[in-house]
Amino acid sequence: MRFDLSGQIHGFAGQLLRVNLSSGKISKEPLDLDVARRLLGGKGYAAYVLYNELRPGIDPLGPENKLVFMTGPLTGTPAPLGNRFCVCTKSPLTGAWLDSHCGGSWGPELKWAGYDGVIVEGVASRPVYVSVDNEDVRINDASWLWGSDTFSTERILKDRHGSRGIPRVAGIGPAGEKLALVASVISEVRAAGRGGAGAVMGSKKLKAIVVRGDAKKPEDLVADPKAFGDAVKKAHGKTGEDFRTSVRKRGGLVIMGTANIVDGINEAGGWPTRNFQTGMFEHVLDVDGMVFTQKLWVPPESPGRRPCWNCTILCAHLGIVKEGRWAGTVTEGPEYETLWAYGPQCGVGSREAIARADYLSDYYGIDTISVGNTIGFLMECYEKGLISREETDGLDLRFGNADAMVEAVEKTGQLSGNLGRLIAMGSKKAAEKIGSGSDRFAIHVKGMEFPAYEPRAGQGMGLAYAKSDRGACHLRPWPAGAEMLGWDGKDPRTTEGKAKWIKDNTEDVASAFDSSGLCLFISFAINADDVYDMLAPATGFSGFTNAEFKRIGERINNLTRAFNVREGFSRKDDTLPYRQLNEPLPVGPCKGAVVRLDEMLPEYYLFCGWDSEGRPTAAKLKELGLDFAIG
Amino acid sequence: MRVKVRSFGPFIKALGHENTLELPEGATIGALLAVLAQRAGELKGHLLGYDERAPSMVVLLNGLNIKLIEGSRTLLKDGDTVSLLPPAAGG
Repeated sequence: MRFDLSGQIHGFAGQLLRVNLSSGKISKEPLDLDVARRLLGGKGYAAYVLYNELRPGIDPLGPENKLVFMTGPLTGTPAPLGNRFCVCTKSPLTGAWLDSHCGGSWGPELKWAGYDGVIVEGVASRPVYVSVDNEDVRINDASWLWGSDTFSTERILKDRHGSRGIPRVAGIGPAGEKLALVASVISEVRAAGRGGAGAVMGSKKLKAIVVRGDAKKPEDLVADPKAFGDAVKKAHGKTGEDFRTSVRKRGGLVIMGTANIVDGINEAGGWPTRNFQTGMFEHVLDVDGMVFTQKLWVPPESPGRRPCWNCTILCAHLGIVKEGRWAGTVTEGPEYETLWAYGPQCGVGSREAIARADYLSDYYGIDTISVGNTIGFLMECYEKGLISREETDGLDLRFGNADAMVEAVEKTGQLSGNLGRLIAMGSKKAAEKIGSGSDRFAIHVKGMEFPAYEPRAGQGMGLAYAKSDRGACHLRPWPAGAEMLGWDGKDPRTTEGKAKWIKDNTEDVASAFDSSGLCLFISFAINADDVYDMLAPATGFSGFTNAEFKRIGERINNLTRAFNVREGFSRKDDTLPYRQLNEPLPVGPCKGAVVRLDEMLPEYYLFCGWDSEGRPTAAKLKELGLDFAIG
Repeated sequence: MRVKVRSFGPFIKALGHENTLELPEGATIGALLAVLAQRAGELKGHLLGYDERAPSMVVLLNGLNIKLIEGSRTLLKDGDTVSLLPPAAGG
């Protein structure tokens, strides 16, 4: 399918960078607009690249794997919250598809430099970083920088390549260099955190990508400024009215950041505590959004806050530890998932310890969710006598030991000692090493650790985790809002209707949001129609209908599913840990529940047009125009 | 009958975190909110104006959103816990 663009490309920059670190070759190639129309940018376009360019079965940390840093068509435009980029690759943590998303300013800057994405391939012979300054793209020696933390990496490269906060840097810390499977990519203290993309960068000896761009202006990116402006105005109106996202109304997300949901999730019995042994934390009032607002974060109007580019919600918070052992620690956050991971998951009710662990995670470049989850898992192993104090390098790894938790995070970042190396491999591989039935309470899907929602307190959440392409993810979709916070009146106790709801109303929509370049948080105030109203005039795609837009999410989800099928994943992997399937939840409105996955998964496959093993059928792939993925 | 009320976020300042109230049999959540509104200071309007279709606050009964039951018409019983929370999003 071709369409009339009158020679002009809008929304997208129209060009991709390809950097081969083995040969040192840098090339620029046109964005395939047919693909962009069918899959947008971000995760969707990257899935097309990686499906077609990666041979199945490759080692994620070997030279054949590739990394795609990708923006969406609304990234860097004046669309509110249009600041996202994602890092896509084959995950070393799971062996499955990985897309990990990040805000900040790196994505817009890349777009303004004239590129929709960067494809990195091969392995450098020595540490390098890539610099992008509009047309000028170089591979630079980074031997001198290897070993530095992410904060120093960013500061040094900003000093070297520009001034006044420009350029933007996305890089790794020591954990990525040492191939920790939980290593993240950090940009301006924000993380493309999940799945070990940082380790893939480390395996390629790629320390960072530095970007400066002014070849394109935000307003020049859009095809129809009038229609686009109207749609943006409407989106601003909605985010300004919603009780959760409105700055004027001092919405929960504005004042307390993502931590505003702590109390609601805890009251619903959905806040995993002590490695998911229960769903309510007795110290909740020591670590909820209100107390962080009062005791740790600088005020919302403070100039010290650093929101993502063009964000109107301002969920980011700057925290300063003012007293105690970790006084002087300054951290961006912790946000909800992190404060859970280092808080109730480890039985820790110390804000200061959580803030310190958050800081260390960004400093070394590790995923707070996977690391905190794995520490909680090891705490349970320790208390059950499955690992000794010798194996924890002398740490008394009991639940609630805040000092030990922080020390364990530090060890993970450095991959030091037996404990650091154990945590750095994630809970699945750690359980395989420990044995003794510990896999029954290693809380992951496909090797990726659960985040901060107990699925026994929301059946749809269980399905969402189990079927997710990258492993246990809370964002594809996020049923917790409807089931645990009660937004749309979804009964958390039931399985009826959940399969269709997850697929149609949430999962497909989430993928379309993600691939547009918008932050998912704007979906609290605007819907898919509002996104379409911005996307159509931004791209100027001729005859681009809302119905066409609404198939895109489904197309993306089928393509990443096909990627995983090709890697050997099937229904056996769309499952949950023993604990969630067999051990009744002890508290909350869902007390006594286990996840009844068998009541939802076959129905979900049916609505997806997949076979009983969870594989997209040839007919479904053909219907979606994904003929190339028919196996 | 005795009903426990757990308040969070801005409602703590107005109502305290936990209260136990003595209520007559047959009291609804709407009636409870009306009682609490008298003590809620500047948040009085949130409690009196509670509307599950356009919530400016979230009300749970034993952890379950009352939208899933009968909203403010839901009958209370002895030993129930009612939680009051600000609307929240983002994880």
